[in-house]
Amino acid sequence: MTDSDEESANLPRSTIQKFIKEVVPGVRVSNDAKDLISNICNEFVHMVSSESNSICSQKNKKTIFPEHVIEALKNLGFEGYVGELKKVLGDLKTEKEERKKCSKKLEKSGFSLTELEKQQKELFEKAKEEQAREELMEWNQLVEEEKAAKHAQSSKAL
Amino acid sequence: MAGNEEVLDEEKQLNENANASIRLTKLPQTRVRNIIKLDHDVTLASSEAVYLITKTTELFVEYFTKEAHKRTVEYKRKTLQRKDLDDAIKTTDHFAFLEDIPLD
Repeated sequence: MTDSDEESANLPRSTIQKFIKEVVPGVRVSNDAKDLISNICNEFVHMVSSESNSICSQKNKKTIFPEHVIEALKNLGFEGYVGELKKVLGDLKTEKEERKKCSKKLEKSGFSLTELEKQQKELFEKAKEEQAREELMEWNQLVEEEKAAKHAQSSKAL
Repeated sequence: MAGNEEVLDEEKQLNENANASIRLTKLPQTRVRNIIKLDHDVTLASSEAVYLITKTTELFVEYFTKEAHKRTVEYKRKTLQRKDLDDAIKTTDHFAFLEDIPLD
């Protein structure tokens, strides 16, 4: 493997170190400890990928899917993580569905994105005009009221 | 060839779904995908599978580091040292597999 191959097939040390800082904030971590954790990270990924791949092949599939990973983790003795992982996977699916809904809405409207943006701009302009008109009316009313008040005052003075 | 076309279509669909999960992990999913690909038997891994493997690694590292840190605190030190990690490996069943891995 060339140097760049090695680099691209390992998790970046700096990112792992940043992650460690977040896990134990305010704690100093020695360099050899950081190195060990980095190595463990890479080993762990290899281990889980390899097992997931075996399960995938056993089922005669060409693509590793989440269920293969979950089974791999169970085989490797990491059932403890399965609950949490199923939950985050569920959250992910919900987010995808929300995105699909949004794009379906877009499709349903029959308009393209540019057309919708144009409509939105027009609506904003209209709203601005209406608000300006309202403010002008209010202002005029105030001026009239001031005038009336001054007039009343001056006629009293007389 | 029909087989190749199928794989290409599948890959396209997987890529379209990829965006949803990309920002949800601290460790980079692209690198994890590279590691998965090193195994030449693998044709593809779905973005969700890559996401799960990345997430699991994060959970594992978090657990391992925190366990080691307990030893740091116990010995009233401010620096988490290699020996704390080694001790966690020796004394926790869950980490026993790490003893067999040549980590240096």
